[in-house]
Amino acid sequence: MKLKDNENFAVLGVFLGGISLLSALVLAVVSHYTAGPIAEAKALRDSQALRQILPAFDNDINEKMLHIKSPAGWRVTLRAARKNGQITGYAASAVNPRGYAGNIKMLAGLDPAGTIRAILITEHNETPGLGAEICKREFRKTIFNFTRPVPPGLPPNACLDQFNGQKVPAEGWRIRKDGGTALYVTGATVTSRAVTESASEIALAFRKNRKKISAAFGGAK
Amino acid sequence: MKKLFSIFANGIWKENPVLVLLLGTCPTLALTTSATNGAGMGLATTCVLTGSNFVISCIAGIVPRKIRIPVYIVVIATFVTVVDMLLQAYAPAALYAALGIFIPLIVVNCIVLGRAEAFASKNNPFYSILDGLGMGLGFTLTLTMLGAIREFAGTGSIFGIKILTCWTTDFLLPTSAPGAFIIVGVILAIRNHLKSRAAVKAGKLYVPPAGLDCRHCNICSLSKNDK
Repeated sequence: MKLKDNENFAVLGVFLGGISLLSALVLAVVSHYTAGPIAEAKALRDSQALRQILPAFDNDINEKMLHIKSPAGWRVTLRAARKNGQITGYAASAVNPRGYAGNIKMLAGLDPAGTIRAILITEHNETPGLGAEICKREFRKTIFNFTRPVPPGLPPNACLDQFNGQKVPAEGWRIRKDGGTALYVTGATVTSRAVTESASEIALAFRKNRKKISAAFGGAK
Repeated sequence: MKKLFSIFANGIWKENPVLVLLLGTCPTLALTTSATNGAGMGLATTCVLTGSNFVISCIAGIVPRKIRIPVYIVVIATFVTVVDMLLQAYAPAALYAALGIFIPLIVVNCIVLGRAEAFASKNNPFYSILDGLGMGLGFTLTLTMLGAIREFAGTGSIFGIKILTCWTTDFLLPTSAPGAFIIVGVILAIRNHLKSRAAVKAGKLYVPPAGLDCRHCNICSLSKNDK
């Protein structure tokens, strides 16, 4: 009997198992060869983001990571940027689970005193056109940019830039709708609230753990 | 030579997977929010389709008839995972960020399984590669066109470059799912209109080509025969 017309369950099972094994083998080989480039691409994305939010640094920023607890109990990860051994700033990242559609991951650049320099949203899943506008830093290319160069630096975003250089109040920032001072976008209150909350948590966590931070990273190295 | 060309060109207009076969509607509607996304998804599907068509036409002769669908799915899933890993490693970050969550969906894209069952399992590997390329190209062109229409209607830009510079606030309908349905519907209506008008001019009745409806596929009849 030909294999094509075989209806014996054992034969069918062995055949399917064999095909699956073969495909697993192929995947293992491809995964082996792409693991390096995938990690590199991820690291490149991360370092590009860090260069945008921190002042110039020359150390290996991933060398040391410090996890601190924010007032709400989130884990905030800190990395120190140094130039000639002097700390020029910190990169703080935190994940807010209370976005409109899942997690919002924030990466904030802090100066050595803990004030926010710049904020980036690295991962989010918010509504396009509403919540996503709060998380997006994007220079809008137009047809005129074929002759005119794109301006350097971080594209502006009013909702994210409003915390730059501000001193955080003891209870954190709050959006205007909730009686605070922070800007928000109509129709995307939940996202605005989450972003404001993330910025507050990062700033407050830094303030609360100042001793731990200076013990971990030291003043100068 | 003529036959080779007709196999290749089939997917682009006559049997266009989106506009005629109406397969793969999920990526068509979900992903064509911009021309770049449409082109990226189309190219990724083309790679998977060509690869899976080739492998399936090679193994079609020995696969037991009863388990051919699971075997095809395993082959397709392997190709999708490979494409996913390659995109993660080498594609621009922005493209992977937009396509990433949809790449695994190519596994259940009807175009891939449909061509495996309707074409690759009955033809030789060379024809199957041509069919995969043609179908993939048709899919890519349609998705890019749809993406460009939706992007322009929604934001006034194409491929991320603003054409109408006075357009500052995005119009959400064309770039969201309901707008996708409306635009695809309008395009289908235009294509059917053109086809039927050509048929009327030639003095014929417009009938969809045989083999493009339910008859060409025997997935359902297989389970009937078992009883």
